[in-house]
Amino acid sequence: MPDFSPTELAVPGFVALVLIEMIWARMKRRDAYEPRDTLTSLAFGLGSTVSGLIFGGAFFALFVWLWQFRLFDVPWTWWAFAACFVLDDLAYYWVHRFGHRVRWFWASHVNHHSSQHYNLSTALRQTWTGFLTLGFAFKLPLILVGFHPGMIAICAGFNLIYQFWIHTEAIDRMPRWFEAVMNTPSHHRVHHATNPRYLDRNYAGVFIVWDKLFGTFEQEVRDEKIRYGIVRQLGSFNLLWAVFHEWIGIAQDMRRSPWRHKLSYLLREPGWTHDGTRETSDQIRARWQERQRSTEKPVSSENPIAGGSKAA
Amino acid sequence: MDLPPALIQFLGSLAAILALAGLAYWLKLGPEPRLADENAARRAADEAASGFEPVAISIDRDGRGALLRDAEDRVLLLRPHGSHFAGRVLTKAASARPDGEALVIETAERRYGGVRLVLADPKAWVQAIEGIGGS
Repeated sequence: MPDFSPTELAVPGFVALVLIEMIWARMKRRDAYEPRDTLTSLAFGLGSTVSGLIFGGAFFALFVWLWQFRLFDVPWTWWAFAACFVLDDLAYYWVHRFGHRVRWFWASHVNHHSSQHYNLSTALRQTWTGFLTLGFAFKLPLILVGFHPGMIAICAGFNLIYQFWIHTEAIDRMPRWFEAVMNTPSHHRVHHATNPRYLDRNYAGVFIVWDKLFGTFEQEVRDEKIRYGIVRQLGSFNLLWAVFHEWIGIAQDMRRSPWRHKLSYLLREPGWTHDGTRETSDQIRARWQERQRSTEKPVSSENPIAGGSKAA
Repeated sequence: MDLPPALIQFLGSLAAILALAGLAYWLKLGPEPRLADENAARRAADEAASGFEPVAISIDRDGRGALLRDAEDRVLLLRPHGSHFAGRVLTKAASARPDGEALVIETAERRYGGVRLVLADPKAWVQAIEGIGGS
């Protein structure tokens, strides 16, 4: 692993900003924090650091080994860092998107979403089981192009640091030009929301342009209260349950289902069932859109007289 | 005794997170939520199960939860979880029993647990819960 770890250096800043946000919560929004939720989120962060120490080295060694098969020699220059940062963020977008759309990956990533709160401590709610997924595979193209694994690790560290500050309700909107290009608290609130219109949207890490490019962007609506967490809230602060509940769910579903469906519980989207007893995010959104259409049906569709009128 | 640096870092981080959680407690953050009226219960129900449209609502005397039934006789239980509500559409494994003036609802889900609500019409809800999956 590289000697320089930006995330380790940023930890005092993380703690200071959490403190500041807690004081903001005391003055303006006491429900923005909850002690047991905070403790769970921070314990997630600590555990993920331990998990990273144990397993991160193995992945880094794999990357270094693969680097010998690189196509080009990318130098350690500022422009290479800049290119690496942008491409690493693109890779992050796809890792993240798979993290929401493939239950195997979701079992790990759900940890980050299982709080019903959205504050800076939520940012530190990181998975312990990322090593069980194939997320690392999305970084392989960068290795094979020739970016050194150390450079990629440093860029990924800065990416993670950037994402810390956007986990807050204390900031409303940034300037328009910034909202257009960068991931912001507003965009990321959408990502953490379980309101049907927001499900599986805004996967970006640093640059929101990826969502706009790949059709997954959703703007935050001002007059709709956001509900954070997961579709089926945990209802428990038990740390180990929070860490492993989706892995246990997958195992239970695979054990109970017919042979031909077993693999689908691992590879299909969260919420998918072979007997339709649960709903995927797409199905929840489609049902919500149907309800919206039926409540917003214009009078003219039912009343021929009204249909003939014109606006004044 | 020399402790390994990684262990010192771990113990320091553990102390820091306990201190931050303690501070959140000391600042009295995270008040328990209350359901003020049926509209609040409807909103919480829709948040717990998108599209759940209750035809019967019974809110706990202190607003610490509610039972709601929809036109398909599905029963939704709401109870506080931290400063929010966590809801469950009850399955046929759920049960309900009177306990003094309260109704104790067991979801049969170990981590979610049981809930004790004081409702105006507990017998009707016992029937509704016993009837789940029976039709």
